[in-house]
Amino acid sequence: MIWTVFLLIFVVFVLGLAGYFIYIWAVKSGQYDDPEGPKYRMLDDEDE
Amino acid sequence: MESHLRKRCSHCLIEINAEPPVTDEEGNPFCCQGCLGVYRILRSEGLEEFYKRRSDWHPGTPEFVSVEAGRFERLVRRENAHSVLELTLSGIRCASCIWLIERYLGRADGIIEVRVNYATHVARIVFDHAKITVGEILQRISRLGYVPRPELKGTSSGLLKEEARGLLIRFGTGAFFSMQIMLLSVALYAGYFQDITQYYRRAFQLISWALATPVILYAGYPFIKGTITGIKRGFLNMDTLVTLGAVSAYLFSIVMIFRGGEVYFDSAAMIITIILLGRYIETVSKTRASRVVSMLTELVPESVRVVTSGGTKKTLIDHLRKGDHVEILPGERIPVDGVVIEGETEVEESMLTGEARPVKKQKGDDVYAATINLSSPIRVEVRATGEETLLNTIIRTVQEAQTRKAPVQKIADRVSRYFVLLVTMFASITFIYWYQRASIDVALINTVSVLVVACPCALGIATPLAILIGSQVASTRGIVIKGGDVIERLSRATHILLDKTGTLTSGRFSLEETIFFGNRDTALMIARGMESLSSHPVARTLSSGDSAHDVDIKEHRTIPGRGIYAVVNGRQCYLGNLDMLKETVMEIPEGIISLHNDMTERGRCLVFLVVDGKIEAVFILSDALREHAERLIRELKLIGIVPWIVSGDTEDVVREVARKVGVDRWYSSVQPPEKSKIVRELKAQGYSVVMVGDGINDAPALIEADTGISVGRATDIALESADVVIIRPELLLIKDIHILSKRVMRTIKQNLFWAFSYNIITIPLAMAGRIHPIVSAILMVTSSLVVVGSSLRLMKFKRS
Repeated sequence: MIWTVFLLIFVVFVLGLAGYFIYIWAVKSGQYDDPEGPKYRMLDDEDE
Repeated sequence: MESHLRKRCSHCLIEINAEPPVTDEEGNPFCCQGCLGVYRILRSEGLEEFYKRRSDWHPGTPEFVSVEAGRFERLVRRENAHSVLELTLSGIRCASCIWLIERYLGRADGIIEVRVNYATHVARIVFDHAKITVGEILQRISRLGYVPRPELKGTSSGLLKEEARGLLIRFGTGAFFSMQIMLLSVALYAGYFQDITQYYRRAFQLISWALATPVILYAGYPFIKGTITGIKRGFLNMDTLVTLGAVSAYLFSIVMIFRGGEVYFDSAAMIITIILLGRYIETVSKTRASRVVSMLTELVPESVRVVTSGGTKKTLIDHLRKGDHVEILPGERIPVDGVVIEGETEVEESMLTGEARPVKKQKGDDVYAATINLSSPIRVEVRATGEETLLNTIIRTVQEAQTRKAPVQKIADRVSRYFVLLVTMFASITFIYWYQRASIDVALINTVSVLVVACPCALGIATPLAILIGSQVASTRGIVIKGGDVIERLSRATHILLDKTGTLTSGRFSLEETIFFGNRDTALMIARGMESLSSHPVARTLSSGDSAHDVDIKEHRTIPGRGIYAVVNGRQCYLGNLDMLKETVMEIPEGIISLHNDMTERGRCLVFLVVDGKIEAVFILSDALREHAERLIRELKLIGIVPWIVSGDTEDVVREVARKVGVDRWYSSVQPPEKSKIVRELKAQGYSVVMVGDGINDAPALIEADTGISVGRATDIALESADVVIIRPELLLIKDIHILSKRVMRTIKQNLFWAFSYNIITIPLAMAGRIHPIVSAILMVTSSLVVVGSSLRLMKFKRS
C-alpha cells in the first residue's frame, strides 16, 4: 500500500516529464516563434 | 463615391496623378515601371491569385532597390548539405505578401525551402549553392518590390526573441513543477483536515521540496539576479518583492519540514510561475512592436550612375564628389541631395514629408536622398552625400534624442518599492512583538510567514495582463502601441501638438470658394462636365458627387501644364491655371492677378473657367481638412487636453487651419529641430506632451515628446520614432487611444488593489501567527482570478 502511493506519484511525475520535454523541444525548435503564421498557412493550398 | 473617378495603380493601389504614367497593353494603369514589372511577373508565373487574396494590403509604393550581395554572402550558413540564409524583409504590407514571396522564391531552381515568419518578417531560405547564387535570390526578392535586409544576431529584435524563448522555457519549467507540487499539496491540505499520518506528511513535504528547488533556482533565477543587482545599486522593485516572498517561503518551508510545521512550497512555486507568465506577456508585446523598426540608412543605394564625358558609368556612392552629375532612372531611389539639371519627373518624397502625392521636379529643383524617382530619367548635380544629406541629419537628431530619452519606471515597480518597505516594517513589528511575548523561535516563525504571505502573486500579472489586453483592443482598431510604459505616459497627457500637413489635413484639395462672373448654374454645369472626364487631382474636387448629365462634351483634351479644353454644348471651354487664363483671355479682369498671388501665398490653388474667351468662374481650392479634424479638437478640449498646431508650413496657411479646427495656439514655419525644442520647453514646465505627426521632419519631436503618435501613411522614420502608430487614417483614434490608455491605467490600479487586498487579509493573520498555507494558497488564487477577470473587462472598450 505504501509503495503504491509513491509509485503513483512517480508515474505521474514521469508522465508529466514526458509532456515537459515535448514542450521544451517545441520552444527550442521554434514552434512558438511565429504564432501568427498558422492561421494564414492553413488556408493555403499545398498543391505545388 | 469618388473612387471610380480616381485611378489607382493596378499593383500598389496608390492614387495616381492625371494620366497614369505607365500602362500595360490592356490599359491597366500603373504608378511606375516597377509596379508594372511586378504585375507582369505575377501574370507570367500564374500568381495573379495574389491580387484576389490581399484584402488587407495598405496602399503604398513598393521599393525597387538593387541590393549588393556582398553583405549577405557572409550570413550564409551551411546546414547538412544545404546553404541557409536568414534575412529580414521590408515592404511586406499584408499576409498575402508572404504567400507570394514563398511561392515565387520557392519556384526558383536551387531553392529547397522558403519560410517567412508572419510576425517578424524574417525569411529563412534553404538553397543549393551550386544551382543558385545569393545575388539571384536577392534579385528575385527585390524584383517583387520587397527589400531584403541582413538579419544580424544581436539586433534588438533578435535579442528580444531570445529573451522571449528563455522566459517561455523558464515558465514551462515552473508550470510543470508547480503542477506536481500542487498534487502533493492537495493531499497535504486534505490530510490537514483528515489527520494524515506523520509518515506520509513528511514524505510529501520532502518530495515537494525536491520539486520546488528547480522552480526557485532555475525558473526564479531572473528575479534573484534582478534583486541582487537592485540591492547593489540601492533600489527596491518588483524583483525584490518576488524574491523576498518566494525565497523566504522556500527556506521557511525547509525548516518547517524538520520542525513538523506546515510548508509553503506551493505558494513559492506559484508566485514565480505566474509572475514569469507576466514577464513573458510583456516581452512578446515588445517583440511585436519592434518589427516596425527599419534600417533607414540602407534606404540610400550604394552604387550610382555617374555622368562622364563618355556616357555614364557605375560607381560607389563614396567616390562621389560635390558637383558630380548622376543619372537616376525611373523607379530608383535618389542617392544624394542635389539639384536637377536635366529632365522633368515626379518624385515620391513621402519618406521625408509624409505627403503621399508625388511632387513634380524640373530643372533647378532640389531633390533629396532616399526619395524615389517615379516617371522619367533625370540628371542631378550632387550637393551632399552620405553624412551630410538631409536624411542623415534627421536620422542623427533622432538617434541623439533616443539615447537621451530615459525609460519611465513601471507603475508596479514604483508601488512595489513602497510595499517592500511596508512589509519590512510589518515584519520587524511582528518580530519585536513575538520576541517580547514568546520565544525567539516563535518570533522568527511568525516574521518569516509575514514575508511569505506578503508577496502577491497577482501583482505579477496585474500590469502585463491589462496592458496586453489594452494593446490588443487597440490593434483591432488599427493602432500599434509599443510597450506598456507608453500607455502610462499617454494616460497622463496634458498637451497635444499636431502637425498640419498629412495629419490635420489630408494633403488633398477641396473646393473652398467659388467666384462667378456669369451665370452660376451654367458655369458649374460646364466645369463639372469637363472635370468628370479628367483624373487630375484638382478635377476630382469639382466633379465629386454629381455626374455630368445633359451636357454635351466634345473634343475633350488635356493641355499639359495648363489645364483641359473641351467643347461643351457647342461652346469652347477652358479650365485651368493662371497660365491658361493668360493665354485664352484677352482682358483679364482687374484684381484677378492679385487675388491669385494672395491666395497662392495662403496655400490655395486657383482654377479658372473660360468660356468663349471670357472668364466665367474662379474656383478656390484648399488643402482639405481631414474628416473629423474639428471634432477631434473639440473633444480633446472637452477632456481637458490642450491642442496646439506645430507646422513647417507658412504663417497664413497655418493660421487658417488653426481657425477652422478651433485651435487657439499655433506655430508656423517650424524647422524639425525647433519642433522638438517646443516639445522640450513644454515638458520642462511639467506638462506631459503628445506629439502627432507623420513626416521625417516630425521624427525628432515624436521622440522628444512623452508620447509620439504617427498617423496615416507615415514615413518609416516617423513609424520608428513614434510610440503609438495609428495605421488607419482616422483622426478620432487619437482621442480613442488616449481614453483607452486611461482606462487601462484605471484597470491596472484596480488590479493592483485586488492584488494587495490579498495582503490586507493575510498579513494580519501572519502577524498574529494564525496563518495556514491553505488560507494563503486559496486567497492567492482568488486574487489572481479577480485580476484576470477585471483585466478582461477591458475588451469591452467601445470607440466613441
